[in-house]
Amino acid sequence: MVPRAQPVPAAPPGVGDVVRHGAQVGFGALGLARRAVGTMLSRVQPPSRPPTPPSTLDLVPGALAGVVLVVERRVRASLAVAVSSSTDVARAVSRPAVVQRALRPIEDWVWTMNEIARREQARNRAEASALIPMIVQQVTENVLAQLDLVSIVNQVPIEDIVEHIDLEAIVQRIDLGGVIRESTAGVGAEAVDALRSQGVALDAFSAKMVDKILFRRKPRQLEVG
Amino acid sequence: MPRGEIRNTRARDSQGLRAGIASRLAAGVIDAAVIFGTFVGVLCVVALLRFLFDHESLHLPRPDRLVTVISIIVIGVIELSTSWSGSGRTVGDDVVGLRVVTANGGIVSSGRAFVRAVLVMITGGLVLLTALVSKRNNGVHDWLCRTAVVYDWRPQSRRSRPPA
Repeated sequence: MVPRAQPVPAAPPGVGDVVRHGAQVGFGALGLARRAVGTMLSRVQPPSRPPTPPSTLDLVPGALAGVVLVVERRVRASLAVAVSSSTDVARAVSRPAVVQRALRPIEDWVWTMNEIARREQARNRAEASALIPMIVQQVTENVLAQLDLVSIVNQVPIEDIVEHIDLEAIVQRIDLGGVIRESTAGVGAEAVDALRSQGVALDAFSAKMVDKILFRRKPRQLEVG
Repeated sequence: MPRGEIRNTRARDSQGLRAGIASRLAAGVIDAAVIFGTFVGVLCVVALLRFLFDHESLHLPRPDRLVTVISIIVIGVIELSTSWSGSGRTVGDDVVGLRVVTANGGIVSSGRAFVRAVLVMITGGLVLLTALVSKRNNGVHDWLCRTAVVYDWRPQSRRSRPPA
């Protein structure tokens, strides 16, 4: 058996799919543009004008679009039939071992080229991913360098904004009592801990003095249990 | 009472160990003040009841010395024994950061707390001073009742909480 290159995990969309999606998106974009232009023109028209039924000439663009859509659908169906038939014929022709052996180098070349393309494309995507943030940063820095921030800030009506701020409402929202209570409790807790620490130190000092008077050398056994 | 970490290193390391005489005396003084305040409150209630039902003038009664001593002892025994058998902390212990536990570190039973309270109140609290010379910071009442007083600044800490 001739070793064969590993297939691509996810097959990229075919040319036919790309063309078909492109055509659909293009038609969709045209439809949106036509609707936008129609909406814009209807705003320009006087409102008193009564709506009139569309004439035959008005229907021509829509008819042309319909014709294009029908043609595209027919062509796509025909291509699908042709591709299917060609595939069956190619499969029948390539079934004999002699033909398979003859086609194997071509097949391997195709797989190799595909692998090269896949790797190159992956590398290109990685480079693009690394490059785009740099470009965005560079563009942002250039834009900021062109801006005159001082003049922009000077144009901001700070005094008007300050006049509209309701300081009394803001102060009423702040729980000053809670803030004072929390801070007072914290200070009180620190003071209690400080006094307790003095007590612990005094305990140790008194025990040490008594132990010296009683000529004790071993430290007190203060563990419980 | 304060919550959070104890900043003082020595105090933090002392948690769960037997407390010394200074802390215990401080807690005892606070407890004595609470007991005396309760006694005065009882006298106020008695005066109010006499004013309401015996039509006497509103004045604080002055009981005999023996009655006063017995009343204070009874109030002290009730107050101390219920505190020690409950949370293990009297008001003074709570302020100073102490807890009364058994010699094994468990919760003190009601009977043991009652005997301990009687010993403390009969001796006028002087039995506390015997802890000064003990190798284990134990007073005579601790030795008799097999109890200990430990540092417990943060009652919720697992190390200091006695097993149920």
